[in-house]
Formats: sequence, structure tokens, C-alpha cells
Amino acid sequence: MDLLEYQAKALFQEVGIPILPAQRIDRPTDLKSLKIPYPVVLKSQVSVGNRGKVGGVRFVENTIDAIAAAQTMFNLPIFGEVPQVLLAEAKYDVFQEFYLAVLIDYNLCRPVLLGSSQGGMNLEVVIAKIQQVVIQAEFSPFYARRLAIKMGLTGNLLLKVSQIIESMYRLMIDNDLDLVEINPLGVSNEGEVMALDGKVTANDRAIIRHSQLSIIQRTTKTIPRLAATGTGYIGVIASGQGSASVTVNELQRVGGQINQCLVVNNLESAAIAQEIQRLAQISDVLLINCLGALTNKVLLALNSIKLLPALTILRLPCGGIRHQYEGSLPVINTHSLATAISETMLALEAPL
Amino acid sequence: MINFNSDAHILIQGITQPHALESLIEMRSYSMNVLAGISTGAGNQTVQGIEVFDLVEQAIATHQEIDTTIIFDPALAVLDAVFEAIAAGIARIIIATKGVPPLDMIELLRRTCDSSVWVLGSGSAGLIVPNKILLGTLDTTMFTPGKVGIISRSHSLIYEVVELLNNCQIGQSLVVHLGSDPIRGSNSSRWLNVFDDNTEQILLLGDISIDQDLRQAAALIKQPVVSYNPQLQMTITPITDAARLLRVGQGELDLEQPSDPLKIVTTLEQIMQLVK
Repeated sequence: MDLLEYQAKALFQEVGIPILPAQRIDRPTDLKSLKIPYPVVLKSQVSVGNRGKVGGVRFVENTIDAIAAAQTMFNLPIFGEVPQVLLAEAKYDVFQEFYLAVLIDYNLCRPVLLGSSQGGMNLEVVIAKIQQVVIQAEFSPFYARRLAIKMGLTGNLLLKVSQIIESMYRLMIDNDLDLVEINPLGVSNEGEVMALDGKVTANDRAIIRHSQLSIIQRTTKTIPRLAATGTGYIGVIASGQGSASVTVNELQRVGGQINQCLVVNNLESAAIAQEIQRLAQISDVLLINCLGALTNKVLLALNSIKLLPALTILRLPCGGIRHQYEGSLPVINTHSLATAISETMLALEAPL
Repeated sequence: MINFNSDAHILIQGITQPHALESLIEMRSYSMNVLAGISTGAGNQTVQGIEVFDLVEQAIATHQEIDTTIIFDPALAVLDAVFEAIAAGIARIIIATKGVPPLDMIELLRRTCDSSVWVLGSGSAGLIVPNKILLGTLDTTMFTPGKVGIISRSHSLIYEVVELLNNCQIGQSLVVHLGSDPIRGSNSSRWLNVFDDNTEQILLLGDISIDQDLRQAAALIKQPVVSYNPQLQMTITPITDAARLLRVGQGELDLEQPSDPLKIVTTLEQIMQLVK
């Protein structure tokens, strides 16, 4: 789960990462009691990036301007997301911008520190100077200093930036975070540093053991994982990530075009039934590739469905007992993936 | 060096969890020797005739021969369960639980990478030698004995490929599921040298991290190694800035190189051509 900027900054403050004086704005009139001196920056609190390019960041000089701007911003969706909260923040004169991040590298199975002496919204510029340090063993602050040195920092800035990287790392470990990112870290003419924007991603699996993060958790419900999308006519439901990729891969090899592929191994049969019906509405043919423990749930789901608008090819495993669907829906049973694929392609040629 | 044998002496941690019970019944029908279970608070009770203890060390005090544990505890309790098993001297650990937090798994890796302890999972369905050994939750009805060894990142890919092999009368020698979670206690290269002369061909399934270690391990063994990786043409996971920046300089890992000890294939048809 991505935290909003103001939530991320609250965490930064707790671990001593410098942030600007700021105030949370829930409605435009909150700006009447603003305690930060003008000029002020108003920022839409949304979970998507690049908001500056579409009106999600505005500079204001006085209360009248601020309230008018806030009224607009509360009604302005940023890439489809309407902000519930704005952040009013002091303006900061930047001399230099850095990029800093701490995250897990799933290839190396280790945390990694990232830093670039060129921060900001233009990712190509950040990439040109990117440096990384892998935390191989137990963390110790020298890893942070190593990154700062690789970024080319010296003297006072070296000390300050490594201190911030160290705090970011501790924040990640203490809160089970997937990502802590500061972009940009502003550097003033006087060599002061400031986290101007930040991104924190909490780990969905671990969030319940951190009470302060659980409070800000937005409601989530169990949904099927979307493994792939396309513009075709075949809907695919698979029992696992692996069989999803095999199915889509083999379909595409014979020219099959899919519209959605769902992985449903985290769902109960009622939810699976819903997904089958939803996908059948928008597909010409449905291919359900179901292995192992999910067989019974999928059969239960199919048996609960009264009407199915698309022909369904059901592939069940052939080990042990040969299960199959015996109801009245338009379902073709098969036990091999190859047959399921050819039946699907055949059905496309002669739709129901 | 990884070792395991057919007379494994098995402990089940989290034995009162629903999946544990299914696994227990399945392993017993495979004549596996399950000696005890752990469920804190349920000590002195029995589950399906298996004695339950509160602590691993209590189980070990009664059954010194325990050498393998299968963990079904809730995700947030898994790291502790693993440490408890290691402290009690158990060196073969299968974590069946899915969804263990990644930082817990990193902690576990740091603790076990240089030791003789091996860990499968988290999210592992275990391993099987058809008609001989079952450790974990793999569906035994899907396998037939034979000469192809399998190491898989994905649970469902195992069944896809095994079914295809069975249809061509090709059986399996040993099948290992490394685990579905993003960070796992052991990788393909660690398991490659576990196969003996009964295995003529090794298949790696869904392993996207083909690196130098794996190539070296593949070069050192007798059997030919084929890596099958059906990649999705369309990716829907939005890639974050940080994830993009992480890849800068790491390059493409999974491209086959000239004189590669690993053969890399992307379709089921290619597997069958190589295995036949």
C-alpha cells in the first residue's frame, strides 16, 4: 500500500529526516487558519506520481489565492484520483536536487540503497547518475556513507546525506516497508537538506503488525490478481500464476488474443463464480485452467451459476480422480491444456 | 550440500492449522514418518493420533530422531518458528505458509545462507519422489516415477509440465517446489546437485533469476539442464521509478549465452523436444 505524501512525511519527521513546515488541509476554509507564512505550495495528496504536470501542485501568495486554488484542486482528479486532502507547505529555494531510495531487490534477496546526484521528475536524468549499494550482511551506517561517496558527495553534504539514508533504512526495517523514496531531496544554497517529496510503500503482508500504519490503511478487499490484459476475445481464469502464464503463452503461440487473465487461487467459490460471470460477459470464449486444490472450488462455482453467456472450456487435471462439470451450462470438459487451447480457438471461429 | 532421505523423521509446526491436517493425512498415506506436531497451547493433545507439543524442544526431547520440519504457522509467526526449529537442531525446513513478509525472509536468509540448514519456501508445496517420499502438500496423484528431475518456482507450473510428461510416459525422479513467495530460502542452484544417477534430465520451471551461480552449478553436474520460463507478453504491474532505477546496470539476466550449460526454452513444445 502506498502512503500519501503527508503520511510519508509524518514518518520522516519521526526519524529526524528534515521536512518543511506543513499543514494538512481537509477543506478550502482550513487555509484561513494557516500557520505557515506565504508564499506557500499546495499539493494534491494522491497516490499517483507526476501530479505537478496536471495541476496537482500550485504556488499561492495569499489566503484569497490559496482558497481559490484549493477549491479547484479538491475537484481536480489527478490521473483519475480526486484528492481528499491537500498539503500546504512552505516554499523552499533549491540549489540542487538528489534522489534517494531504500528498497528490496527481489533478485538479490537483499535491501538496496539507491542514490543519484540528479533528482527530480525527469527519470532519465536521475538514471544517468544512479548509484547503488547492496546491504549484504547486517546493516551498519557505513553502507549509507558508501552510497553518499558513490554519489560524489563530500564534506558537510556527505555527512548529512548519509545520515538521511541511514534514517530511511531504519524506517524501512522498523515498519516492514517495501520502499522509502525521497525525490527530490532539496539542497539549499547554504548546504541545508530537505525532503521535498517522499514516497513510502508499506508491505501489505506485514502491515498488521504496525499499529500506526494499520490506522491509515485504506479498505482493501480480496480481489483476483490480474495476470495479463489485452484487447482480444478470450477470457482466461487460472488457478496459479504459473499456469496463468503457461496458458496465455500457449494461446498466443497459436494466435489467440486474450482480454483478461485472472489468477483466482486466493478466492472462495462464491467469488470465483462472480468472476466467471463477469469475464463471460466481456468475452467470446472462456478458458478455465484449473489445477490441484482449486478444482472443487471451481466446480462449486460453476454449479452455482444459472446462466453463462460465453462458451466455457474447462480444463481439469487428470491425476487420480477424473473430475468434470456435469451441469447444463455451455461447458466443454477437457483434461489436457493442448485440447483446451485448440477447443478455445475452435470456439472462436464458431461463436455460440 | 542438501540431503534428504526416505526415512525422514517429520515434525509439523502449526499442526492445528487447516492445511497442516490435509498434509498430515497425505504424507501418512505415502507412508511418511510423522512423529510430532507443534501448536502452542495445545500441548499434550493429539491430532489424528499425532502427539502435539507446545515447544519444538519438547518434541525433540521425546523424539530425538526428528530431522525435518514442515511449517504451517501463520505468516507473521513463521520467522520465529524457523528460528525455533534451527535452535532445536533441525536442518531441513519446509515453509508451507504463504505471505511471509519479505524482510522476515531476508533475515532468515542471512541466518541460513552459510549453514548446513536448508529451507524451502515460504509458500512451498514441498518435495516429492514419486511413490517414495512426500514432504509437504504436493498432490501425489499427479506424479509418476521416472527419470526427470524438476525444480520449480511455481506450484501450478509443476502440474502443467508433469501432466505433459506423464502423457508421454515420462516419469519424475524428484520434484522440488522452491516456494511461491517472492523471497525464498533456497534457489535453484542450491538444489541442482541433489540429483543422483537416477535422474537423466533436469527441468527448471519459472525461474526468472538465471545468474552466473546457476550457470556454474549447471556446468558442474552430469545431467543436461533445461529452464522453462513462459513469460507473459503483457505485463500489467506498474513499474515504480525505484524499481526501474534498480535495474539500471544489472542488465538482462535470463538471455541464453553461447555454450551455455543451461538450455532456455519458452514453450511446452520445446520442453518435450528436449526431454524425449
